Amino acid sequence: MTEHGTEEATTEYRVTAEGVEKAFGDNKVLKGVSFDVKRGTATTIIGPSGSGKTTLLRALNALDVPDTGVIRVGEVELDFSKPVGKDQLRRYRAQSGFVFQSHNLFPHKTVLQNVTEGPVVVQKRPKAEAEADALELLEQVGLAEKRAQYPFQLSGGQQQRVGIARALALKPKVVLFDEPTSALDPELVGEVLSVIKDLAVEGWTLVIVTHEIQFARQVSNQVLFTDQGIILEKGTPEEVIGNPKEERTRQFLDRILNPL
Amino acid sequence: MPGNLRRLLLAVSIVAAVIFGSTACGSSESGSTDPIKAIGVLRVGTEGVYSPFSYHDQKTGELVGYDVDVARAVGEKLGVKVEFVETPWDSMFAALEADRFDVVANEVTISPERKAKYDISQPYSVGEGVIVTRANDDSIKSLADIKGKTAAENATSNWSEVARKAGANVESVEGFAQAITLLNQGRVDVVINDSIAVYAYIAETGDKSVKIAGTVNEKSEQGFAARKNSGYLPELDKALGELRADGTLADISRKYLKADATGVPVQTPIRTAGALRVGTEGTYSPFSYHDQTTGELVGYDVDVAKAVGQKLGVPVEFVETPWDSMFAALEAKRFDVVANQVTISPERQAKYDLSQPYAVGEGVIVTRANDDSIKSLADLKGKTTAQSSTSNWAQVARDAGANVEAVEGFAQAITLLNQGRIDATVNDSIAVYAYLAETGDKSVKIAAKTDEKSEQALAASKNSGYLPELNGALDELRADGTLAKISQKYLKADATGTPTGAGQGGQNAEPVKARSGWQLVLDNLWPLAKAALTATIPLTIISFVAGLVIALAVALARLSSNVILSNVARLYISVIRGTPLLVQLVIVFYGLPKFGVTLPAFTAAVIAFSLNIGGYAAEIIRSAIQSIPKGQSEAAQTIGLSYAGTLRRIILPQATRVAVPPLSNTLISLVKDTSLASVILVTELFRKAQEIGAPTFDFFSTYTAAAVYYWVICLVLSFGQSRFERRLERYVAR
Repeated sequence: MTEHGTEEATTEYRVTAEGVEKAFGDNKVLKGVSFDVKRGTATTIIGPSGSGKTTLLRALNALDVPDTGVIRVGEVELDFSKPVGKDQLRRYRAQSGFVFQSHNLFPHKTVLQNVTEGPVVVQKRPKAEAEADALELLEQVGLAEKRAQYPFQLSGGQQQRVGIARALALKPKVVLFDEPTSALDPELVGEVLSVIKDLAVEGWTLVIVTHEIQFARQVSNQVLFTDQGIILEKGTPEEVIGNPKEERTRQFLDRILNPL
Repeated sequence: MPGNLRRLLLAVSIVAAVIFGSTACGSSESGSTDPIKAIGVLRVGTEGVYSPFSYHDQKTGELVGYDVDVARAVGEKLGVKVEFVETPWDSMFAALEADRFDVVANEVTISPERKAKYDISQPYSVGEGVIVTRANDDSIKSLADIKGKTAAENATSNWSEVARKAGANVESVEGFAQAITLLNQGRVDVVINDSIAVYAYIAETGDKSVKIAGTVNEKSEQGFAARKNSGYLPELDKALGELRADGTLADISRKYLKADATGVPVQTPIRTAGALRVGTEGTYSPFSYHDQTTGELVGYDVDVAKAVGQKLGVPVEFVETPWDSMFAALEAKRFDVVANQVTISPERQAKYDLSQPYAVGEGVIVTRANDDSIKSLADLKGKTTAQSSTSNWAQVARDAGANVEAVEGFAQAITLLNQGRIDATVNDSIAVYAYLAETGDKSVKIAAKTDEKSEQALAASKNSGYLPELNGALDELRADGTLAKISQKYLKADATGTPTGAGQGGQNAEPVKARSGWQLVLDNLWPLAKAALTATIPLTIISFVAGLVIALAVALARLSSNVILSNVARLYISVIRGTPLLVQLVIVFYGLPKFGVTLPAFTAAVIAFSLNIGGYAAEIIRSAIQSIPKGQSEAAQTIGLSYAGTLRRIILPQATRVAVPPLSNTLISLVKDTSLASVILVTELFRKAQEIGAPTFDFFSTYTAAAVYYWVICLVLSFGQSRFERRLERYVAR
């Protein structure tokens, strides 16, 4: 999978957001957010509950369509100051994979069918080829032997790993993770984080919303701290987590690292 | 056209006349040569509300009409003033007897009964059987052409028989109006009825889509009625003769009926007699059937014919012929007379030589055996009776002050009576005797009689010349008690019309050859199964599948963000759920043809049921779709599935699992609701059961058999449902 990280010029940004705003009714959740993600890097988004980090991630995938601003993944750009068509949205979404907090696997499909659904139905790839690739991905997340089982037969961590494989199967330019371990029992968190860590090492471009500060520190090239709808602070893990400039960032990290 | 109802009302009027009219006795004039001219005024009783015969012109308010104008013309001919006395039909003859007026001019049909009771003038209107078709149908020009066609006729009218004898398939309808509706909708090919009724309909409605394509040799004649021995007839007949000769009658007819219905009076010359070959069914117990032990042809009518032959000293030869072709065979000279409970009617009298009656049915009131509260017609007041709505008996009961429940026939009425749902039913005594003799039913009894009579006679070809001999022989048989003996033998009652006061013995009868309900069901297992397989099941499957397609479309429209679309869907669901399925059915079947869409009954049923299922299942499917978590469609979006793909591959498969139990409910309801299609003439399981049960009086066993079939179909479906559910639940934690 390393070829994904090396096929284009290293200077190029994989993900760009410029002045993204999003309101739900009167509640302005994103108040003009801009950042870039270089390809082959992992970016984590941290911040207090309600700071807009999940909305930001969903906006990046256009699951929640921004009110205004520009987002770009790979070569596909959406400018929300103009009307955006359904086909444009679909083409844009095809550039990224998305891993949900609550996995959202298709319960009526087997593990293998969950992973091959996109490649076979959307990308129209031959079934045999898609299954071979899917098996490789399942191998990678350690679940090849579960391929014929239904999601309800798996543990939460296994379900989330299938979710990751499903997101990777479309060979996206970036994989977006929405708090991938928040819904898991603590003993299952590790297996999921280690899979994600492996992806970062292999050179996938990742954007991860997480509460796991230690994980963020280890895996990220860039950390964004969101607060009240803006990115209050961004930089390397050493800068934002190791030596935060903002008082709010410090308070947040203190609460997370010393909960008692 | 005064038909059964009119004849019946006449009977009621006679009763009324007997009660109220005694003062009129002796007031009749005789002796004077020209009594009407002598008085100088002709008082005419007429309804004034019977268009186009006697009614008030909408503009001028003047009393006009065919009969009114004829009466006026008669007055003019006689040089006397004409005074009209408007009187309801119900009390017309009572008023005549009470000398409120001198003659009735109100389409009084000439019948032997009336001739016996009143002075009847020569006819001034003559109806004949006419064949009505659609205006653009040239395939029918005579009775012979209706073979294999479909006719709509009132089941109790003799036209129904005429059509059946001519080889048509007869759809039973309630009356002329419904028959014409079906004809216009192209559902039937032909309607046979009295020409005057047809002329009146066409003149009234201006309907140009139907035409009179041919005639049937059956006549009904209408004349003036005066009190017996009034002495008016010579003047009336002379005036009518002149009006006929100078074309006035024809002009009046054309004015009101747009056709000449003045006809020519039927002649009845007599020829000499021949040998006696007798046509009879041989399958009509207890009148004409084969004895189960000896195999010999026996029965009321057979024995009467044998006795007549004996009296005449000629051998009797029986020719067994199905009822459908009885009269055709008679006309083909296959035999000389019919002995098969041929009821005397004016139409038959016009077409055949009918002997004096040898079996006389009278109106009888049947109650439960333990009910002593009803002893006469008067006791029906405030009681509930069950009657066929098209029969005379309904009117008799209503006139007596009873509440009348409409039923389909005698069998159903007896069932309701036995169940205590009604207090009585009024019917012809012979039908009742036959029922009691056949079934041995001891739970009902004949509690009283009415004065209405139906008479059965031997029928011969017109102008056969047999009548003197036949009537003479019957007179002797009646006098020497042979007739009564035969009646007692087969009906356990005297139905010969002789005033013996007997005839209450029916409830003591032993069953002769009652077919058990079990045997009836056994005999009809396959016909019922066939109705289920060819109608009920296909109707259910096609309607359900089509209904689901509609339902899915409606559910998606309802969930759509498009306001117009979702409101249209909402309205559809509201209308479908807010109106009775039965009403939807009859609208599709009877209503759509108004807009030029005429569908076969089965198709109409499929459409109505599909639309209905569409409305109900739409809500089930909508709620099933909404029960699928939002994350599912989001996940589908993130892997690039389109709206249609998301629906087809992700949402609907999961929604199916949620929707199957309630949809199965809908399907099982539909199986049973298809029985409603019986009202729009689809011969499905329930209608088949009705057909089978009707002639045998045994509804309990046939309906029970039908119920079992429905239950079995639903059992199979329930089994299929649980298997399907198990399959759908393979991906759900249990």
